[in-house]
Amino acid sequence: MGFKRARLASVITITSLALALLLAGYFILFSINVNRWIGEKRSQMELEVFFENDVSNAKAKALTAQVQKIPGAGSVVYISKKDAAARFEKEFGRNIYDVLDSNPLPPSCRVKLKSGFQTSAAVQKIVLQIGRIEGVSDVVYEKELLRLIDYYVTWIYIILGGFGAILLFIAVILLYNTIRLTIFARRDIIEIMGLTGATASFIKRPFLIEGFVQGLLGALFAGGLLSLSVSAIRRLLFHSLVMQDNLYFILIGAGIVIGMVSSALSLSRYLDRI
Amino acid sequence: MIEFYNVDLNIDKKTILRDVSFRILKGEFVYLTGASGAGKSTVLRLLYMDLFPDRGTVIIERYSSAKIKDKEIPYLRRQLGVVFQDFKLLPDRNIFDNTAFALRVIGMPGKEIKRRVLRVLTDVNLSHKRNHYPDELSGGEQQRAAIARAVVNNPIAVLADEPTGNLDSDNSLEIMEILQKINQSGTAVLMATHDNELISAFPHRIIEIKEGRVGR
Ligand SMILES: Nc1ncnc2c1ncn2[C@@H]1O[C@H](COP(=O)(O)OP(=O)(O)OP(=O)(O)O)[C@@H](O)[C@H]1O
Ligand SMILES: [Mg+2]
Repeated sequence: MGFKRARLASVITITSLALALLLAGYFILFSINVNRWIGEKRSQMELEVFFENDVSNAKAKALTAQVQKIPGAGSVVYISKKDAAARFEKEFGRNIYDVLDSNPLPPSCRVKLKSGFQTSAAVQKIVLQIGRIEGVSDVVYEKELLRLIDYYVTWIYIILGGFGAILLFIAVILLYNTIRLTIFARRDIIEIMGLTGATASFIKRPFLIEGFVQGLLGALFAGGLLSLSVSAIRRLLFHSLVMQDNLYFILIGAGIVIGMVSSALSLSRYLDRI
Repeated sequence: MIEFYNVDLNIDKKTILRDVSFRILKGEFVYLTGASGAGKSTVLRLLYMDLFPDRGTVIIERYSSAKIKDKEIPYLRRQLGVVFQDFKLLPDRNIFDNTAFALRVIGMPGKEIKRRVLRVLTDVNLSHKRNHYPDELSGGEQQRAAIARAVVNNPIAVLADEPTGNLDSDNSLEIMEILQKINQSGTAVLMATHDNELISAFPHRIIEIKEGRVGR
C-alpha cells in the first residue's frame, strides 16, 4: 500500500523500541545475576551443630540423624572427634595431640539448608529446633552475614522494582508517541481509506504488519546488543556472568507484542467509527 | 433513495441542524446551498455517516442511521462517491493509483481495477495524465482525478462538497459538465455550493439551509 513515506519515523520507532528492550534486557540480566549471587550466598550458609563432648560416637551419629529429620535440613555431614582432629591438623598444620593430651574437639555435624529455608527467620527457627535436641551443646552460623543479606536484599528488590517500573513507563510513553506520530503523518491516507469504504480491519492490517516488523527488528537489535554486552562483560568484568538464553525469546515476543499493540492503540482514535 | 427525516444535529451544544427533512430521488441532481457555516458540509457528513443525528433519521438505500452497525459503514460508503473542495488526493502516488485506490481498498482484483480505472480516467479526460503525480496537475485536473476516484466504483450517488470552490470559471464549467455526464448515466449528484452563476447555468432542484432549517 505504498508505506514508503515516513521511513525516518519508522527508523525512530525501531530505535526507541530497541533501546527500551535493551534497557529491559540489561535490567533482567542484572536481576538474574543479583538473584543468583544472593542465592549462592544463602546456599553456602552452613550450620555447625556441636554435640556434648562426652557423647559416644554412636550416640553422636544418632543425634546427626535426628538433626537430619528437622524440616529444612538439606545435606548433613557428620564430623566425629577423629574427623575434627584431622581437620584441625589440616587447618593449623599441627597434630592436636602434640599440643594437648586429649582431643578436646567435640563431635559435630554440618548442616546445609534446603532452598526456601535460607532466610534469617527460617534459619533461626531451625537453630532453635536443633538446640532443643538432647545432646546438642551449640549451634553456630554466620548470623550477622545472614542478617545483612536479608536487609540488603529487600532494598535491592525495592530499587530494582522501582527502576524497572520507571523503565517500562518511559519505554511505553516513548513508543506510543513515536507510533502516534507516524500514524498522524498518515492520517490523510487513513481518512481517504475510510471515505472510500475500506473496512477497519483492512485499514489496520498494514499498520499491524508494520508494528510486527518494527517490533521484531527492534527486538533483534536489542538482542544483538545484549548478546554483545554479555560477552564483553564476561571478558572484561565478570567471568561468571549468568545469562538465560530464553531472555532473547522473551525480548522478541515482547517486541512484537509492543509493536502491534502500540500500532493498534494509536490507530484506534482514527478508526473509532469505521 | 436518500432521505433526511426530522434531523436535529448539535455540535458542542450548538444547534447546527433543526428538524431537517428532505428526499433525493434516484438519479436526481440537487444543489445544497446556504451561507458559509450554514451546515452544508455537515449534511454531507451525515450522509456518509461520519456524523449521526441527535434526533431523526438519515436513510441511504437500505441503510438507516438509526440501525446501521459500525461494521456496515464501509459498505454504505462504497455506495457513495465523495468529492471535496481540496481534492484530497494522495501526493505520493500517481493519478492512476489515486483512482485505483478506491478499488484496492475494497479488495477488487488487479485486472478489473485496471479496466475500470482506465475507462473512468477517459470519461474525465485524464487518461493521458495517468502516470503524473497530483502536484504536476492543475487544480481542475486534480479535481477531475478526485471525481474519477469517486465514481470508479459505480456509486448510486456522488456527494460533492463545493467541488468548484478552488477553481476558476473555465475549470468550474468543465467540472460541472463532467458531473452532468455522470448524472446522465444514472448516478444521483448532491452538490454543495454557493456559486449562483453555476446554479443558473446548470439549473437543478435546490435545497437551501438557513438557520439550521431547510425551506419547504
Ligand atoms: N468539528 C466541529 N466542531 C465545532 N463546530 C463545528 C464542527 N464542524 C462544523 N461545525 C460548525 O457547524 C456549522 C456548520 O458547518 P459546516 O461546515 O457544515 O458549514 P458549511 O455550510 O459547509 O460552510 P462552508 O460553506 O463554509 O463550507 C458551523 O457553524 C461550524 O462552525
Ligand atoms: Mg463546507
